[in-house]
Amino acid sequence: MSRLSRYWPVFPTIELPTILLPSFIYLVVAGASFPVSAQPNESLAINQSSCMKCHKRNGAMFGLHANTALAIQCQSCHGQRGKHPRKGSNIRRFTSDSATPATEQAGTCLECHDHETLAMADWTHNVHADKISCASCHQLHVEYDPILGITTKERSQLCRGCHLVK
Amino acid sequence: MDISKRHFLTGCGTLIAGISIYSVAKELAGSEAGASVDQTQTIKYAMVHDENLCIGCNACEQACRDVNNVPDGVSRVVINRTGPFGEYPDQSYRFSRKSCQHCEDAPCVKVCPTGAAYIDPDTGIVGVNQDKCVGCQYCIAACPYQVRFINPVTQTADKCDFCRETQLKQGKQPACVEACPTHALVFGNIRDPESELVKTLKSKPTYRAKTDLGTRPKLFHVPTIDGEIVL
Ligand code: SF4
Ligand code: SF4
Ligand code: SF4
Repeated sequence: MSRLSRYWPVFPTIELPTILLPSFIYLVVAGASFPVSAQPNESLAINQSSCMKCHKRNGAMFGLHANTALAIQCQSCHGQRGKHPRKGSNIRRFTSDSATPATEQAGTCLECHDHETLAMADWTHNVHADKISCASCHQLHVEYDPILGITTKERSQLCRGCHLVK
Repeated sequence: MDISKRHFLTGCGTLIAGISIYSVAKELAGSEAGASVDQTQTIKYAMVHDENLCIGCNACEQACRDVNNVPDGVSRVVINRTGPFGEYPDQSYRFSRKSCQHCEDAPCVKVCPTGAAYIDPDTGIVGVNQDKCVGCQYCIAACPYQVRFINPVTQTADKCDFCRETQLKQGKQPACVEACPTHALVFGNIRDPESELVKTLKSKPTYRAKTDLGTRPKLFHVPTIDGEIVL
């Protein structure tokens, strides 16, 4: 459970799921709308995957992580399909309300991304570490991760989305 | 004979010590009277920044900028961040607020040659009268907390005024206090025992910066309670 403040147990009024909800909704909604117009990406190796037979709409990969040179496959992050889709599987889902624990989600990203380098990019990586999922703030499938372009004001509002004390 | 000589010398020593203690005590009493505290004053504003609740989001600075028209490049409030402390993935940072302390014995007011820097007797707020300020920057040099700056638009000295001209005039809380998502900032009247400010001051340990200078600052900080000794 992430620690939102040092007085955490003292404020019983803060309920994590409720205060996180607005940002979850935002992220889930934002995560579902990909710019499908970008043509060349469809020829990328990752988008030739058999997963794409079903996941045409939500599976296409754009941007940096789709780069053929990286040779990233769907399985690299989401894990082996197992019995999916007929039966339950251990496929990792990257959202803030996913059944995949935040530690596991963050751990997947940290296989390639070094936490010290992340800290250099932004100090807040250190405090959230593996306590919340990277997908709470970041999007991978899209051409450009929208969080990279936010203004300082939007950034503060993003903090507020989770940390607001009523 | 020897004994009486010794007595005489001891007596002289005591007398000299007595005189110097008396003069120091007199001087102290004088300065206390000089900085006399007006006990009839019913409003005296102060602020608390709880460093445990602060998350370093900077919403306070942005709200202040918007409400008080603070241009880019300068700021009335800064949240200083130190850290990280601890080992990944259990790291933390410490935050401390830097803004005008609204000193009761304000060096900036004392040095101002034009009377532009002043203490409002009704609220205890230290203000700047823009019409009187000639931009000589004496106050900037004198302020031990380094919170003053020249506003690049007005070319006069500027700093936090507890939103006296903006929010307080409309009966609202200062912009930074309203914007803080974690309620790390509490503003209020230190003379009102029922105020949230006084209740906070009574229930949490606080410190003030550079009190040894005798400036009697009114910005209180609740220190971080990590429980770690950091070398
Ligand atoms: S903190 Fe600095 S600017 Fe504010 S009242 Fe004290 S001396 Fe003046
Ligand atoms: S009290 Fe007002 S002027 Fe002072 S830092 Fe807060 S918002 Fe800015
Ligand atoms: S708005 Fe509140 S929590 Fe955010 S930096 Fe300012 S004092 Fe800290």
